[in-house]
Amino acid sequence: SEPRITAHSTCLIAQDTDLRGEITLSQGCIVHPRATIIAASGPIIMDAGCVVEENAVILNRRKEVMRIGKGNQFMVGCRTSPSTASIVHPTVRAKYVGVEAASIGNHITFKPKSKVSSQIAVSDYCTFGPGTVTLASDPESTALETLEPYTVVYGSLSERRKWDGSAGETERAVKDKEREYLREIMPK
Amino acid sequence: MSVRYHCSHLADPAPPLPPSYASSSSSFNPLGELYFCEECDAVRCDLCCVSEIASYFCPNCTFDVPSANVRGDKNRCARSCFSCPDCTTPLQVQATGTTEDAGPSAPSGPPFILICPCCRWSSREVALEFEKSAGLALQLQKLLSAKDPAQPEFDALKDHLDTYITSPAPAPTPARSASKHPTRHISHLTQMAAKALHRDVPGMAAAGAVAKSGLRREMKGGGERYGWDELGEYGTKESWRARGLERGDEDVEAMRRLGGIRMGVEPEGSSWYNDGKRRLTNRYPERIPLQTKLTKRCPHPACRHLLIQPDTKSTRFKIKMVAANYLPVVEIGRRRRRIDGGGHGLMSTGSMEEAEVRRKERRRLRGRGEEVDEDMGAPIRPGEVYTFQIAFTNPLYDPIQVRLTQPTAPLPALLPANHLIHIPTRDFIVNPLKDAWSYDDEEEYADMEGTEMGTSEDGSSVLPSSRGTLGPAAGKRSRLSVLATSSGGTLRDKERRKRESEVDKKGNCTKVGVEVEILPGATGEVVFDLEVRFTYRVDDTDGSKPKGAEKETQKGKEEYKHFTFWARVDLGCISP
Repeated sequence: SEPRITAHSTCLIAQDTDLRGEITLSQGCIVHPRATIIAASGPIIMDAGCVVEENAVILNRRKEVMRIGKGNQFMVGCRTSPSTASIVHPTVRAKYVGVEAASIGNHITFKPKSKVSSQIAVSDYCTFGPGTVTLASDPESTALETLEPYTVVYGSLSERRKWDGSAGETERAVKDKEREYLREIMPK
Repeated sequence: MSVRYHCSHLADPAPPLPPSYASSSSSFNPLGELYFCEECDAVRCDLCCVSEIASYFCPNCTFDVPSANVRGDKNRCARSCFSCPDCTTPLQVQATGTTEDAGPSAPSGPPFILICPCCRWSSREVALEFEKSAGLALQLQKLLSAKDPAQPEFDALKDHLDTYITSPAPAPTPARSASKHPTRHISHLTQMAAKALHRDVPGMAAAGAVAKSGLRREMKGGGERYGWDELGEYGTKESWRARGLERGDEDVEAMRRLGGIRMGVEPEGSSWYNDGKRRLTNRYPERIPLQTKLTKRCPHPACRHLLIQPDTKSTRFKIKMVAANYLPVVEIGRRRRRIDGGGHGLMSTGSMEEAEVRRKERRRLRGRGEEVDEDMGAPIRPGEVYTFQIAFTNPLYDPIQVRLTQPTAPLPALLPANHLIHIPTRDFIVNPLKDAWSYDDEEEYADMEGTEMGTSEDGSSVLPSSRGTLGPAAGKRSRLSVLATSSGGTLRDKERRKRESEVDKKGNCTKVGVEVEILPGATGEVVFDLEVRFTYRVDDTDGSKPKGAEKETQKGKEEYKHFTFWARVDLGCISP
């Protein structure tokens, strides 16, 4: 189906992207080349200031709206798998393996190549370190697990801990500067 | 799948023990870990080299620490390098305060905190903030020593006893001191110290109190002492009773009853074990330990030449005599399995005659047999025949002639061999290393299938025409055409010849085939030793030759030097 993208005037969407379905991007969103956003069954709504980098995949298979908060950063190659099983067998079924979390809060950073299982609802200010794999604590249950806000997933063993928010303003300032820089450079 | 080289340490080079001896494995190292001493003409490994510390540096800020300061800094970085207590990554310094001109956008200014980029640990969690963004180690030390009562207590005690030690000892009364010499009072001190140490209650305050009570006892007892009377009582800053250490003795007894457990005190904030999770909440970040740059020397007592000397200022080396610059690099790869029937009947013995018979069979069937490419990591099956290619890369600027043999070990193998090796071509030449731009056209042309563009020396490009049909051209080109026709006109001919000789030369790398036949019913690892003897030409070109008379003989003064080394090739494990 034709992609129906509703984008705010300050959005920046590169040409070489794969956007399908009904997607709404609020002001200031930036979509890098080679990013993939697929609203397969239901629409995706992204709030202000989200940045989707190269090879990131956001996928909504469910009929409900997938809401993504503001100020999120989907870095290079991040994705989630549709179910925990396919982290083990990546070739199973899905052609696209994407971020399928039920809901994504504000100011979340998905560092490069992080994977978040679709059983997890991501709360505000979470950080997923590079290369980490976040599964629900109880892989047997099918219930949704909501991560607490300010959770940091880090390390080769994907451990979790809480962040106390220190230096949060510095980070936000840095991200704002990054966004401005992208807005200048990308059209070139 | 590895090829390791033998280092005979300081012994004369000799064939190593066969692989079935576990003790032989220590003399084999991968080529990247070996050095070569030019004076002794011998391979040296890490185990035999003499290492000295050249310099110390911090792995985080790469600051080169002068050796004099290292001990005073307790082998840690004295600047601002700390490691996160949770995940041990180096911490970053971030400003949290606001200065007047920065405005609301980005905080920059004191107070500064440390934050971990990996796990987002913040020094605020341990209430640690800094005033300045540099020299954090010093600030932290001041903060910590202010809280710790041991140091000022020790200083005060030392001052107190200083007056005793340094003040001139009063002339000992002859009645007491007749047989004792004046050093007796020092042994008194050590007696007191020993008594104090027997009470292992932590905290100097307690020891101070013990010394105090000991003193009082001595004074009352009227034992032999010198000058103790003059020494006043020492008042501790903090009474051990106030600190709640009264129960110290009970605790000690309780711990003694636990039995079998070594009593040790782990100082707060130190974390010199690195495994497992460290979930104590009030952990301070540690300063990052320094690392060293080592200088390595040849161990031979007559030699002692430097093999490795690092450059303090940069990451390069002033002297770098690594084995890879002297020995050909041996690699094994391209595994193929014959599928024309690995076993002609069941072979129970690995005798050489039967093996020869089988090999002749295989060669006869070569045209009809097929080979299947296999991954080097796939399991090896018994009863199969595999062919590999061993590649030799020549690091020298002269061509080398290589001879491969199977070494005669000093002792027979402990286990019967589980495989048979056959190397069809044992002697071959490896071309020298040349700079990329000085490769001759002939070599390029003869090896590549004509899809590459070769360039002749005058800069014009040679078209990849099919073999031997080059038109009139410069002398180089005609030589090229002669070579092209002589080295096998058609593609099929070239391939056939290559297959027969199994030698593939490309640049400074030569690949030879090796056939490994795994005996049926074999188990274990397939490991074999190779003796590689290579000969290279050495031009005798020292300036010490006298001129005139020697000049005629200059041309004939080429020397050929040989070098022999042993390599152990490990092909993997046999899985049934």
